[in-house]
Amino acid sequence: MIDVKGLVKEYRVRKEHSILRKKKVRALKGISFKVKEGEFVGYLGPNGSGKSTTIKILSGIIYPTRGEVKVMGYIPWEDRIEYVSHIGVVLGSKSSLFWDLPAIDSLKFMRAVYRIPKSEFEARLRKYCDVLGLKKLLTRRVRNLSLGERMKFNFVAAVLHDPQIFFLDEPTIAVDAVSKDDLRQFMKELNKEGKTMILTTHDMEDVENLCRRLILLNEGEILFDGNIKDFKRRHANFKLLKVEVESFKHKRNFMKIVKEHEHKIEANMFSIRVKDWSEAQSLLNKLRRHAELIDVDISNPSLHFIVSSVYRNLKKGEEQ
Amino acid sequence: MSLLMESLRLGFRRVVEYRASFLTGVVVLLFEAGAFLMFWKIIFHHFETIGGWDFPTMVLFLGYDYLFFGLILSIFDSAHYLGDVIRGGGLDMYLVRPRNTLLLHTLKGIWLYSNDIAVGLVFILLATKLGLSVSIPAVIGGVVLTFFSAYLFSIMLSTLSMLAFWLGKGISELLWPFIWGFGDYPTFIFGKLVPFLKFVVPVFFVATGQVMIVRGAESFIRAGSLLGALILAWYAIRYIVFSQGLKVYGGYGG
Repeated sequence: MIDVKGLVKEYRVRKEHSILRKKKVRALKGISFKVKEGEFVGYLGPNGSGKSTTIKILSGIIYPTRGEVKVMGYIPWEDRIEYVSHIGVVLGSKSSLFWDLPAIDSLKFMRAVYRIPKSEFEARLRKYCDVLGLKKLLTRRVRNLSLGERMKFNFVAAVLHDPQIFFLDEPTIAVDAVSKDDLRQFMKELNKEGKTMILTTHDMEDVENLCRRLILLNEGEILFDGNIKDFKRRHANFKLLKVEVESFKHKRNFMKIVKEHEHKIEANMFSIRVKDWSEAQSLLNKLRRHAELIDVDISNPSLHFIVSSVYRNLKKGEEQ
Repeated sequence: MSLLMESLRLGFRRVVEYRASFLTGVVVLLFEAGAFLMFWKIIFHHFETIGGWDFPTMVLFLGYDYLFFGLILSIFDSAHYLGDVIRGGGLDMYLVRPRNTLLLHTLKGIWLYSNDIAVGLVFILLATKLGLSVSIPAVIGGVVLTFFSAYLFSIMLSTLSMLAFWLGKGISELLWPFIWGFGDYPTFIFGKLVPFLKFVVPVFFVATGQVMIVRGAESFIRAGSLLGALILAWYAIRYIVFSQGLKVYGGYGG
């Protein structure tokens, strides 16, 4: 369904301290992958890794510098007008709605854009508004909707023409928890109907809940492409010790021990990477000497922690 | 056709959505139009004709002038800010739709502020009531020409806006001083600049050409052919600029 071979995208950006001189920046360095019909792929990477660039090429928005892309037999940037009637695109940072008008007006505009027959439009609108709980909001002006509600309407606008593939670029960005759950459920349902989904996000909960396959990008190259379980097996050969501190006895000593391991600090909660249970036990005994702990937890790391750990290690490697 | 009708419906709904602003605009426009009428009435009180034009002819000129700006502001206004859309990556949401991107951008930008158009039509009617001898087909021909003239300028404005693909900013502002500065006056008063204002930056078609057709001083066929040729030429230029621009377009973010 999607076949990408040796995809390269170079941008020309102005050189620092120069008005006229430009330099080439390689956003994608010859990536290749295939996606089968009905797959739900998490396309991940840190900012600037090239994931949005890939989505824009696959959606026909931008031209690549080199490489081959075929989606459902179309070359996105060459056959764009015909091709885009078969895809649905949700860009979390862009809206397709008319700000000043009731949401239903934007959807009617989409009906005209995609030439959707009235009966099909009404049936799909009813169905999707029921699933997302939007029925009562149809006549509300877009400017009076919450961010989550607006994103839900953007989703409806993207599915009304019944596309086969969805390109979702950070669709749950800045959306509240309840709306996020609704949107995840909605994406799941669409995938169950056989739609192919490509999702870029920084929210690992989205990925854990929705995707079976993961493509991990770093600086325009694919780091990993495979099953999420395989990824965890390969990269999560460690445990996460979480301790919540009530008060410190010797803060400097406590921090010294923590800093010997990969860690993350959120307020008085410390997440520390350890090899196994026995290392967790011995570390816990050391930490107890320097602080009063309220809560302790030893668990398998979340996808979020594993992914950020992979990128942190890469960065460390580059610096060394 | 259904997309055009839907866009016009939404364009009208958006105006109604801001009724107070719309009504304020109507009042301001009435004052402005009244002031124009008064000004020319006073001038023509002292001179019977200027360059062969009398007061009713000037009212007709103002009518086409208002109609032109009404069409630009309500239907083709989006051409002017296309550069900002390109710079901000806003073209993404148009490129993923199965329609001509520029047409869709124009249609989505329609705000049917009909007040300028209404004032234009009232002035054209007023000119005939003031004793200007005209043929109805010529007046209608002038209205049709005004529509295509507004379309031509929208193509020119969007082409200059598209330079944002390379410059980071559109330069459609360059065209406005010509439109405001020369288009608001009968073109023939500019002497040696007339060919430039007819063939290069054709502000002749803002209103002067239409008045000359109505008065029988210009042939509708000849003026229409010139306008058609200019539209085709600029359309071709815009097509090339847009196609090349898309190749360097980076989209939003990432």
